[in-house]
Amino acid sequence: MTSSNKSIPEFDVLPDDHQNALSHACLEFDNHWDYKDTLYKDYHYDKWAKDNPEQTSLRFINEEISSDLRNFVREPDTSGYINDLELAQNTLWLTNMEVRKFNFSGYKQNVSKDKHPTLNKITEWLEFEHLDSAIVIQQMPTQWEIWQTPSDKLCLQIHLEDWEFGQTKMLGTKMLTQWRSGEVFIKSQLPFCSGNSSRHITYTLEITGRPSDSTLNKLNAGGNVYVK
Amino acid sequence: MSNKYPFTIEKLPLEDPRACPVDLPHFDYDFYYDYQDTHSSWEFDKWKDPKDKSNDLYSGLSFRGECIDNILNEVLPFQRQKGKSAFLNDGRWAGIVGWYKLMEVDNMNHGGFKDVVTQNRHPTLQKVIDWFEFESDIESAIMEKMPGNVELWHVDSHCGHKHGHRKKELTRILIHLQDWEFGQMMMWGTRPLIQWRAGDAITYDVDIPHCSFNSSRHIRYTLRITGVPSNATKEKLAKGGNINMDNL
Repeated sequence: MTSSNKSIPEFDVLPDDHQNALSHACLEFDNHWDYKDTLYKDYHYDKWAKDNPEQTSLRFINEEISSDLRNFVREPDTSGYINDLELAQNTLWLTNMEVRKFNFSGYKQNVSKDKHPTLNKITEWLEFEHLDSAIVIQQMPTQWEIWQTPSDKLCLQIHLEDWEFGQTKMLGTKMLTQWRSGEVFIKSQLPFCSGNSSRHITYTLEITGRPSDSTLNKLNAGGNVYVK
Repeated sequence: MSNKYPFTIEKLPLEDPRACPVDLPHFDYDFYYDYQDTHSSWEFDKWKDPKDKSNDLYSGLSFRGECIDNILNEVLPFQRQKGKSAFLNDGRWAGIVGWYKLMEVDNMNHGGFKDVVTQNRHPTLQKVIDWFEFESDIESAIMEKMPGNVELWHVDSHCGHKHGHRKKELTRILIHLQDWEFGQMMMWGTRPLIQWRAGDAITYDVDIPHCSFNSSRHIRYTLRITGVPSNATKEKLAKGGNINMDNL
């Protein structure tokens, strides 16, 4: 649990017999991220710990990566559902925290062979047993992702441009900076957040799914991979 | 800068009725902060080792005691003052908002909010400020950073201070008023700063660019003091150590 510095008023609660009242374990918490912390047992939640995330030396080298980004077109976010309790709970909390935009964390586009031939090659090379998604994430200056626990899928992020002053990502208590274009890190190993305090737009390739043995072997082997 | 902006900001000709009547030097840059960089002697090398001395921020001084542990009782309720030091005739503002518009930064309060320190409402914080024995012109504020609030990477100009824009030597001190939370980040040069404790103080060379981000689930409060330092101020900062505020 991370809720020590509490400084916002507690939410009002509808009475149980109200026609719109819901009952769910998550509603004992101010937001769904706090609730999900309780379900994710693989992290110590000791904020004074020095996390040392597993690193891969894998790096994709290709000058054409940034040319794929010229085809970036924001796709509409279709992840909201009429009965989405997680979204409802978090939106209420975010409103209380004065975050009044749904697109505060950035924009995405699904990778496709015709628009992103290089990124598609990278995705295929990783040989996931089952690929859930391969997306390009665009993060404008001041956009951010809240600190939250990872999903149980393998999620890799590949930086598509060199780091710029003010760009930050955090895995557990480890801050990531000074990355090079094409470098890979395993996002799903620890709770994660990011913030773009720079003067530049950040582009990241994010690949999520169930890895094959070959995927894991390639991650372990690391090294420079020239994408041609 | 290496990754160039995906746009160029056009400059209105001086005779255009919308143009600022004076051609300020920062209008030759895409963004006011790019111009502000030119006033810094810091070497803008983004691959610089984070432990490099040029990134140093002084952080050897801490305020401790029960009054610090309970400091939020003074900070709250937080009374927000005007968010931005922007004026109707502020050419700096003009050099910022054009870039903001093209970068889709549509929340002008993205840097957070501030409350002025008063003896009445904040006796402990006032004691901390007095302890530093600044020579003159102290401006102090409690900074409130909501989740998602961000200070873009910048070089300080102390533009809100009467001796700002490097007219006189100023010292700025930040004092964390709460323990660090997951997702809170600060950066000086290429040096990240996390895992601070309530009462920890930091100060830094005015030339070091810096930024901060609150990606946590918590509101963050910091005391910020800016003023003309006395010799005693400098000596106390240099000496460091733990100061028990309960005994003062």
